[in-house]
Amino acid sequence: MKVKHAAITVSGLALTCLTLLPPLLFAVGRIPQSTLEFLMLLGTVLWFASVPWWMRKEAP
Amino acid sequence: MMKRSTEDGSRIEQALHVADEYEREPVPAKALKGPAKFWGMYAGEHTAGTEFMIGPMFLAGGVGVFDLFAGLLLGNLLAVLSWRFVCAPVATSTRLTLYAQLERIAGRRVVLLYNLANGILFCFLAGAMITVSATAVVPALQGVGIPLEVRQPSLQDLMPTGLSWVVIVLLVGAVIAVVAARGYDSVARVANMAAPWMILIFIACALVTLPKLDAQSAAEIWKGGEPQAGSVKLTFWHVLIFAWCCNAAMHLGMSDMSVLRYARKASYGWASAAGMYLGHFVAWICASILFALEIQRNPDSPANAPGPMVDNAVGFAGLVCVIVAGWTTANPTIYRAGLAFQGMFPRSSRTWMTLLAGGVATVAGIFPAVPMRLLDFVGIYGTILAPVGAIVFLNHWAGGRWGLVRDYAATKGIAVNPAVLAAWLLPVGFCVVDFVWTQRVWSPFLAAPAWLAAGLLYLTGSKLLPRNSMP
Repeated sequence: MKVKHAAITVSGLALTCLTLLPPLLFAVGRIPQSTLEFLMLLGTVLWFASVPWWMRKEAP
Repeated sequence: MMKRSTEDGSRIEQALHVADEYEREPVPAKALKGPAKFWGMYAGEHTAGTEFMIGPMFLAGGVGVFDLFAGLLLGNLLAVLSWRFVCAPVATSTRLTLYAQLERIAGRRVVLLYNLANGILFCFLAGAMITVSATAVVPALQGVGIPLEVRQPSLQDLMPTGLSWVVIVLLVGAVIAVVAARGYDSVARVANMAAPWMILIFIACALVTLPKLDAQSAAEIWKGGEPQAGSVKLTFWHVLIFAWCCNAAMHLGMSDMSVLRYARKASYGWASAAGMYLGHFVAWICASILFALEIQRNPDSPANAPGPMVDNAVGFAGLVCVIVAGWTTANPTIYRAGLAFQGMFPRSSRTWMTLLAGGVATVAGIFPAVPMRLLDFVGIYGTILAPVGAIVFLNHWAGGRWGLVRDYAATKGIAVNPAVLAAWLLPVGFCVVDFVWTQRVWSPFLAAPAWLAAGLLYLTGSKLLPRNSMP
């Protein structure tokens, strides 16, 4: 259960702070293109590393 | 009764841990799924690599901002209503695949013809998605230091752009085909995992691109006016009808019976809204914004290959998105094609038929013709396949009434129901002639009339059948 909660937290951070926030910061000129690309890649890695731990294994 | 697989197929299925898919029998209650799975599946399936292609094509077609937004809002609503009220009730009542149900109505030989058309068209559609993924694989490999010289396909390319392009597509297609053979559970699981992240990547691409545009309002992005060379001028009606009928084969055409047969209730058809408004609204608009920057930078020859556009916007994460987006949609499409081919050969292994479908899709993906003419292809694809859905729909709701026999072919023990054959082929033949020779009507406009015509012809033809009476 602790692992699942940790995974959900990581997934949430990956989506919000590392996938959606960097483009907003880039759009207002706060971060450069290189930082944007690095943060979004980090968010991608964390998302796919964490989501299997909490998303149910059954599928339609 | 389930047909037994061949011995070879059984060994492969064991190695790949393929689940029982109830191809030719009703889905039992124990296999039914809850609503969350369908919301995730539809969101993932319709947030695909092809959205990167279709969004730019609206811009290339000179659509104005009101026409685009209003057309997408209403057209996608019509699509959702079609899934909810046309496909889902029949799927949850019969618990059968479209192929199994159609065989009971039309007879085995008619289903053979439908399966052939269905499988081939699905393969070409999956091929377009393989192409999309391949456009991202190239810059991804270049980004990690692999020296590749590949000319990306553009709007004007119909043939392969070189040997290196062919090799890339073959490798991408091979991976996708093998994974598709594992079965629906595994591919749906990946689509569910990727869906929330994918839609945010689309949005991120738009957010990153908007500041780079020389536009102060949406009307300066979607200006309307003349289309780009080689593109059809798109209006509100083009957008509305395309948004509604681009998946006509799945909702009006009942192909998604294969999916919704696992739903506990018909109301799960509303889950299609996730795909329509995240994929066919948000993602299309975001992709259109990406292409707007390309037009601004290269007004004479804008390139619409998704990989480089997304790479320029958000880098490697975007390339992963394009690859995954194409893959997670190619897989269920190849899976459906495999089901269609297995419908032609019931004793065959679904795994082998899926691999065959993947092979055909991979070869099709080598040629940019389909993705670069995607709006037209999707239109004729829905037009050819959707009409059988009218027949299935009427069989379900009118069978046993008005003097019509439900599941006529199964009841009468015949291999060909001529009423079905005529109802399907006459309107489709008329539409194909227009598409190939006269081209007076934009192909997406043909799907709904063909569906209606098939329904009317089936009602009429069934009444003319000999011994067409209640058993």
